[in-house]
Amino acid sequence: MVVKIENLVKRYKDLVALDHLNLEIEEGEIFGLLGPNGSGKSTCIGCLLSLLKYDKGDIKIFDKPMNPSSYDLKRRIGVVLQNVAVFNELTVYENIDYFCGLYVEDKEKRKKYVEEAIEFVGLEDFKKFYPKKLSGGLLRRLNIACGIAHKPDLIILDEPTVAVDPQSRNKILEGIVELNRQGATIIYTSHYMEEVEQICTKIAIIDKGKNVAMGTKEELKAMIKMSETILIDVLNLSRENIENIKQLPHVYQVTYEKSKLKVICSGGKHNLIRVLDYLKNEDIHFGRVYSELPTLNDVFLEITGTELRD
Amino acid sequence: MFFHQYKYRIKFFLKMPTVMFWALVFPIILGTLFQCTFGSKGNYDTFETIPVAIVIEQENDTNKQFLTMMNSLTFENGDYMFDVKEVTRKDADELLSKDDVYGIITLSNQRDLIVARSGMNESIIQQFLNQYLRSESYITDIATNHPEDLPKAVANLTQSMDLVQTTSLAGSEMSYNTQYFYALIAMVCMFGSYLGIQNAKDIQANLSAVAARRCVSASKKITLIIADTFAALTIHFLEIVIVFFYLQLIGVDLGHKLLLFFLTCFIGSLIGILIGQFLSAAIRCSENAKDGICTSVSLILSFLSGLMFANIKDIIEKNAPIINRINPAALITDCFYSLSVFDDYTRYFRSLITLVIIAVILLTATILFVRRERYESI
Repeated sequence: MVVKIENLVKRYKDLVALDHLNLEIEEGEIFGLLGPNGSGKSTCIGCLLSLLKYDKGDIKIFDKPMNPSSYDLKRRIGVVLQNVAVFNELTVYENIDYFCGLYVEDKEKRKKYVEEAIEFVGLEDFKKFYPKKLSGGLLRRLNIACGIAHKPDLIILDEPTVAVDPQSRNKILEGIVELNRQGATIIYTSHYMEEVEQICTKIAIIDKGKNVAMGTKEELKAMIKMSETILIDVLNLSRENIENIKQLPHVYQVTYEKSKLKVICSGGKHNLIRVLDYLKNEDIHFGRVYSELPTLNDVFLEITGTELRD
Repeated sequence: MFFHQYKYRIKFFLKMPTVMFWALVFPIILGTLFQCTFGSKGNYDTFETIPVAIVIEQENDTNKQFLTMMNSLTFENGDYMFDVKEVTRKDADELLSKDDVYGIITLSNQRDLIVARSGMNESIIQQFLNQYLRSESYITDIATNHPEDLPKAVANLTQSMDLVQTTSLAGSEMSYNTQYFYALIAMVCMFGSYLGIQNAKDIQANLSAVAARRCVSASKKITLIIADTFAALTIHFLEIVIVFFYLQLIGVDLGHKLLLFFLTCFIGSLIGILIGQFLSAAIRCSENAKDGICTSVSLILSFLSGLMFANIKDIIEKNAPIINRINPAALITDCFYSLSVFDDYTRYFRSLITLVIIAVILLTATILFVRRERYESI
């Protein structure tokens, strides 16, 4: 087990930021911590890294208790925090070399690692640039390079794509997958469900400091009733038609507003074909047809009753 | 790990405009302005004859000899060292209260000195009296126990008193205005607080993202703290040395005991840095507010040491001497002053040791604050 968090409780005065949180992260996973702003993701990372005091609970990394003086463990961890953490007075190369040097003492080895990190994040042309001269996306890439240059076994990325342009975001996400492919276990926190869905092999949904659901994205989606949403443009639909559609297999909710028929199904296969067959048999003309699979937002909505993006 | 950290911290400080401005550019500008205002060599005074009131409470040969000695002492340029006024105790008190004399020496079966404040002339009187009493005790002892060595002892005593005239007192060309430059150097030492603030900010995870990243690294926090402090000290001490040589270049004479002068600057610089680290760690407010507090503290301490008004130290000495004993800037200027005026290092080392004690207290307090490893919030 790379990370094991048991019954973690953290309070900020009266506010319970982490409420008996439990997490288990296996080697080789890209583990996503998904939750809205203020849900406790960054607090969880702060406790995990022994930056924050916590009221209760146990944290183990690589099967050893984690505390502020666990330098042997810290050596194996790379951290990319939410806020860009670089020195504006040092160049791109110097920043990466400086932070890498806090882990790697051998000069030659460090030089090699720094060059590799620069290449990895695509900053070869900006080595001598000062951070203030970099765009937001490049700055985020530098932030990542500073956290991963020493080739850690566990990489923790706390919202690394906030305020990043789409091109840099894709580069960052591809990079994370590549790091994982090279053997690193990744913990990735975000409130962007698309990102988490795209790269994470396992996801924990955090809300109000609690781990409300955990599993692969397929497992999470299987937890909820909704499995498919069908939207069809229909001009005229009688109350009787609507009642009949409700009787179709796996359909559990039907609404018809402003010439749009919305059919929500739970499980089953060929739901769309069955609905279209019904319309055709009843000689009801229809226009555009959409079919949507559930998202992590739907999972979050069904479990917590609120939108993920609230 | 230490040297890696030290090297990059030096690079970092070298590119910090605040550090360069307050500890290097600003004092150079201020020093130039002082020099323009006070003038160069022509305005430097040598010592002037010091008026002293003598109250004879008991007439005897010893006291007569003492008076003769006082009346005969001269500076190198031939001026009398003391303008002796034989008066009653009441008149002496009045003269002292009106600042017509710098001190009262009462002659009974012992010799006592009364001064109203602490200044250069008062110190000269005290030095003279101390040396005279030591010599007297030495001669008495020889006469009692080894009378055969008396001629040799008298010769030694004469030589010793010559030494007082030519080296300890008259040999020094201490300008009244030099005190402003001493206070300026003390202020530069106090401006080390800017580097201290930065160090504290970059080591406490609740103060900056960079600090958080450093705190979760594999480097021991104590290594980071010590390397940061040494780097700040290196840069800041070099800045002081540059300021010193610049002042020398424009004609300011800051004395010739360079080794001890720079030792004082080194300790002073350390104190400045530690003040910044301590204040930044102990006070919870915005970064700008911390800068403001450090600037204010540095300037207040420097003001109290005589940066804007040279007599302020004397006024404090008269009314609240404890401030002069604990104000690092005042202690630094006192060290410089002692080096310039006295051959005897007692007062210098007393002030220097006080500075070292302050440094140890600040360092301990800073480490206690900064070494905290887990935070309530970040």
